[in-house]
Amino acid sequence: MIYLDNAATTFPKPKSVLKAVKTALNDYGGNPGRSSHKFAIKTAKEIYDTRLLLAEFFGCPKIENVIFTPSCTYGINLVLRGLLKNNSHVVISNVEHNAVLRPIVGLTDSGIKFSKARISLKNDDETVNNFRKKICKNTKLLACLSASNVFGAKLPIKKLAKLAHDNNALFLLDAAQTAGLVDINVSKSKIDFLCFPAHKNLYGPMGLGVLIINTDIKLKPLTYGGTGVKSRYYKQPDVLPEKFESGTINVPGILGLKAGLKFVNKIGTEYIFEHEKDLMLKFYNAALENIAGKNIIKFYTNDSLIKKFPGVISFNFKNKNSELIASILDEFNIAVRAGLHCSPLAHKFLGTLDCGTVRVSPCIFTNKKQIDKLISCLIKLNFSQN
Amino acid sequence: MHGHDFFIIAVLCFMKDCLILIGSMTKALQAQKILEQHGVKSDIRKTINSKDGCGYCVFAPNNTKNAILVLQKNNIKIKGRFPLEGFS
Repeated sequence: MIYLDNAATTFPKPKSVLKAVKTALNDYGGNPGRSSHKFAIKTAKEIYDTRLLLAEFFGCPKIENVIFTPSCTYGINLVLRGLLKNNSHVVISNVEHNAVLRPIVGLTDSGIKFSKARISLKNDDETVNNFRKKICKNTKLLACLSASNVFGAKLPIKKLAKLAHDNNALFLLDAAQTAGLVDINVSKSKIDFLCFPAHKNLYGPMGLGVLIINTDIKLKPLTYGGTGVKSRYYKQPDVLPEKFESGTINVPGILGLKAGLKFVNKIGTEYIFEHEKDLMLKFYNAALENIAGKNIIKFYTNDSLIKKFPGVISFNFKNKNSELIASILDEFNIAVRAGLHCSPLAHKFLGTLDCGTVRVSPCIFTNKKQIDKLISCLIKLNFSQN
Repeated sequence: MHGHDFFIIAVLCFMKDCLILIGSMTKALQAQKILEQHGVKSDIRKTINSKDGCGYCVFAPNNTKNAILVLQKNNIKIKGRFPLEGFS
């Protein structure tokens, strides 16, 4: 199988991640933060070390502000529901994933209001200006993705964070597609809340996300329960990270993430980025050259966008349903994702809400031979259409 | 340092080894790492005797006073201390 759906989840995982998960199940079976026997403390130390590595990787000065969540989406929900009150206003981009859009829409029942700012693919200052126009006196938060999971548009994070703070608002970054592929430093970029999954560009297992808090503003927890600390009290304790980690945490996932993070650190985000960029530019240029004319195949990107962020490329064959193309590629053992990618806003922006797109997304394990095979399959498809 | 902190240190100068209550497991591990960086060996122990219920402590045998000073200097909040007898 040629796996080109890494924007959904990366595959394969590094051998070190597989080994770490197996080791976690075999050797780190104690429940961390509950008991005090050696077995539990051994596990707790590994969890702590993972927090430390994450804090260093993402520039977070406080280890306790690294929170493990069941997913990136959960972390985003935690921030939105924990922060926003009645009459709060949020500004998001007009290409947000449902992980940001849906909780905000859900919160409109509680009196939360939101506005969508149009992004510009050509001019970051225009994007920032569009966000600025949507800010009002009740704006408490600017929330946006780091890069679109549909067509890879990358947003000007530092400038948007500054805009938020200049207007007494906080900044939430959905880094689902970029954490591990692009350098993100919450301190330098002044990101207040950073959410990302373990299982995409950090090569960890599914079922785990991370929220990094870089502000002193208090959030209400999303779930309440046992935390292993202050257990005499009926109220949820205010101690980080335990305040947001009720219940038993995903130890195998976390130790897998630790191994994935070490893997990314060893290779370097820059190297991984350049690797993916070379592959996607090859794919894009070869497809345009070899498939009869731009009228047959339409790409929702260009050279310059790919160089800014190579994680995803979306395309369509004219008059062909995207799911049909994906299922044909599946017959050739090529895995891609088609449809709306949980991002109806992005597809509305592209004009593909009715047809979706076919999305190709590489990882560090993708190679040139696989891209060549994809191109030759698409050429075959083109011939059979003609 | 506050007056209360001087009091704790003064009392501890005349005390035997005890468990130093830090609070959560995460904080206790942080405290242990800091102690390690300063050459103080310690274990993590748990007590149910704190006013908050369950809490994690660091135990630095024969080095309690030094451990407390290191933790204080590194802004680790000490929530109390418990004698070794009767801890859980």
